Amino acid sequence: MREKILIIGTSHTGAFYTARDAIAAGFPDLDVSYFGLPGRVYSSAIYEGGVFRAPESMPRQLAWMDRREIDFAPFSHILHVGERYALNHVMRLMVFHDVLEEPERTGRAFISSAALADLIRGTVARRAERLLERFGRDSRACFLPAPYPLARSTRLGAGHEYALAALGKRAHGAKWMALYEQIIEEEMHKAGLNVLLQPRQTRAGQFMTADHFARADTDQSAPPDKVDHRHMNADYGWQVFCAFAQRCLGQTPESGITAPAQQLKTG
Amino acid sequence: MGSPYDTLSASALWRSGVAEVDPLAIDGVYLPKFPVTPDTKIMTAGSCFAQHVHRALAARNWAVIDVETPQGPIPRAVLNRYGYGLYSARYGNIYTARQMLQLLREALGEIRPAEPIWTRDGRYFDAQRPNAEPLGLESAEHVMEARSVHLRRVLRAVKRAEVFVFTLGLTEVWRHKESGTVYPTAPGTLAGHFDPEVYGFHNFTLPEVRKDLEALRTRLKALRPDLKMLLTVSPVPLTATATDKHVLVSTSYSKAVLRGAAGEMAAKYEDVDYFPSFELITNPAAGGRFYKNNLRSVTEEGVTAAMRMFFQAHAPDASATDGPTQDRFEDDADEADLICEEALIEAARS
Repeated sequence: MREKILIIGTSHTGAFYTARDAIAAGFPDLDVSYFGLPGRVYSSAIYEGGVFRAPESMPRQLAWMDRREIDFAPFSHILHVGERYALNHVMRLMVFHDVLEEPERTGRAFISSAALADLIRGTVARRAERLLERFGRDSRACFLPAPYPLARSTRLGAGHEYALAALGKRAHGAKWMALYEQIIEEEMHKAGLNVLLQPRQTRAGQFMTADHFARADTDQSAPPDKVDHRHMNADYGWQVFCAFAQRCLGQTPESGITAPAQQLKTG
Repeated sequence: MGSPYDTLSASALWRSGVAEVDPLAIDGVYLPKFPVTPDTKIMTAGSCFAQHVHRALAARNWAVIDVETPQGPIPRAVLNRYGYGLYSARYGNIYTARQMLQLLREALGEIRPAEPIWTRDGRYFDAQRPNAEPLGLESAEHVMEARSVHLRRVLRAVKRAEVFVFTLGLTEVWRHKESGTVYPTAPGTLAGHFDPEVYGFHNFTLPEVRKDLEALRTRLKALRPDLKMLLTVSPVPLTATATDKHVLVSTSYSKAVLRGAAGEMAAKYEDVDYFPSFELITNPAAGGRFYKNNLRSVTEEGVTAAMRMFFQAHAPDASATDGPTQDRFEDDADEADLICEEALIEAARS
């Protein structure tokens, strides 16, 4: 009997759904289900009695979804996708301050390294606590943060990620973002929750996603409302699923299975 | 021919105005001289009780000024630990009128406080706000760099403010003997070293407090000519007195001086008012119910009652409900866990 796996979360589940054929071929012993909701609907959804249910008052749905609720009971492993751990707020904390103990001075307000570290920790700890409150301590669960924005998002234009671009120019940015990730792991561990950080092979530099994981026709030459630097393609879904399978299931894909082509229906 | 007391209103008589009235529903205690609306830009400062005022205003999304607190979903308790989100700028508790005046004079470049940096365990602390960095900083230069930016922010807050709410807390103070520089804590309490040759105790008199409030008003209005002041007196008794008197006697002296000074300022100037939270909390009709078991800290009920009086006077429609609205920090920490250096004296002795 095949092991049942659930991938659940925000619109970032779309990357996994579009990789579903590759995942099915690469992991024939796994029976993977996909359940995604738009971010706000996901945030308002209720998890009760082992069932995750979208609120009736928010009918919005991802294009590929045909369900409004899912029972967690049948699944042996559950990958939660899309928690952001207040990434933008954390980046802004770093961007809008000069850290007293760092040599760089830009004329911004000062913050001590002790305060910065504690503010980041407090912010992340609150997110971890919320996840724990919502889903409880479930050994089947693994939480994957939302992907970092694409590297191209630092260029001016539609979808420009100001904080990310600004942080790239700060001398202490990489060091403090590394601490941020360390804090995520520590606070999730403290909450008794399993976390899988974005795999290195999907990144461009430390805290951006490599541009080749972009979905088709979403770059800055597209109409502004189609530009998207945050949602990734099927190849990303495949790569991350492989990392999840290796880490949580001890499995690697069948040989000969390569990165999937872009599939059409995404979130 | 009757007595002049025959025609007085019920609120003028103790029995009908206080003794027979629910202490949570006394009318006419606070009759504002000028309006304060949710859009009025309010600057807050003062002793630790003033944190309640700042928090209550922020919780109702009134336009309370905050020029230093980082934005974002950061837990209030963590922000407060570093002096953020307590007042309009990150100056910590300001217990005396002299300390507030001194801060403003320093920000304006008129003076430089003596002994501005204290040390503890090899770390460096801003003597004027030793609690802002609980673990101190790694160098004296860092303290001074941070202070220079802080002082600019203090001026920015004043220039933005339409109403300055200031809670007077103490008359007792430790100061630098030669220069007269005052400090929010005694040297050696949180940091620094107490040298009786350098530092001395002083208990401000009513004329001194009055003079300081006058000088404070002058400087505030030089920065913001249309600024109004709303003075309050903290109902929190002294944790300890450094006089040779009983702490009960010293508390009465301190509060009487501060109340007198605030009253005189309010009587003299149209743009200065007095908000009687002290009277509401200490009202004998309350039978001490607005104090916690230590008979010192004010209960949440007491704070709510005081702030209800404020909101009912200034925005009666908005004060229909007593409970605070969602506050910007999405606070879920201990609601009454104020940062109060004075209380640390007690903790240090326990």
